[in-house]
Amino acid sequence: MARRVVILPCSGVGKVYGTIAREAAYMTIEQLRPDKTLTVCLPRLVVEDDDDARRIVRENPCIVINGCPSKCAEFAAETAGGKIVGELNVTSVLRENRDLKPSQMAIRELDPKGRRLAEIVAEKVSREVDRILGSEGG
Amino acid sequence: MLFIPMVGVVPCSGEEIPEGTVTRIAARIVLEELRPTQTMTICLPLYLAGGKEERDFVRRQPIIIVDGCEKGCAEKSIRKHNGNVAAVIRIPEVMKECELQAKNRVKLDDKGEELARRVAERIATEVDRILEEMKRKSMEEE
Repeated sequence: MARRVVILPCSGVGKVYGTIAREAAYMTIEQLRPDKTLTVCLPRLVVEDDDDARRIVRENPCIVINGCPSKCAEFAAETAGGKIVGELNVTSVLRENRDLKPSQMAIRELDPKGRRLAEIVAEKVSREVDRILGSEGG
Repeated sequence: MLFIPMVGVVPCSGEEIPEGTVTRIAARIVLEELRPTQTMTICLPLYLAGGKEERDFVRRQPIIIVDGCEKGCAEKSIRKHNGNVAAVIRIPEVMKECELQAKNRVKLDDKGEELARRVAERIATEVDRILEEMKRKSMEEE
């Protein structure tokens, strides 16, 4: 299998930013860079008996998408020995796009602002994917 | 012991499979619609990263785990740090019982939504059972 970039969102279920991280990951994996990316369930990286998941993040470059400054996705990837080569934070992207503040209650389904914010995050992640694979000659 | 009528609901939210999305949506249905004043959730990644409030909460309050597959990552994660696991709901078991399947991990289709609602109803039933049990124990202690 050609090398792919592993996209790891935090998917935090308590805040809308977790949903934005998750949707941005899916936009990247399924629409923007489908042949160059994949994801692994984040909890699989932290349980101790899942060598397959750990191997994927150790053998492929990873981009983490953190919903908030707690950086939990990064922690999970690091715990598994993942090769983190890119990191995005949804709240940082929101600071660059203050007019896109989503409803804090739109966790189950994003509102239009949240969805647009997810698109912007996905576009940034996709550019990172190109940079990473380009620098590897992939 | 002080009786705090609050149950934690922790879905795995696994990103790889549609069942992970089902856990997430089912948990939100319970929190927002079915038992809004009796349930809370925690971000599982934050709990795993050592969030103090999250760790304290799952040790103190009863927790319902919702796992998307047989790997049982959410259950293993919560038990690893001595969480107070009161019930475990596994999506494959519910799928088998109600013959519903989720096919899209990004956005659930009608059958996936129906499955999420069935899971949510099961969580709500567990919430009622757990709170009733807590209440009974609290009264016995008085």
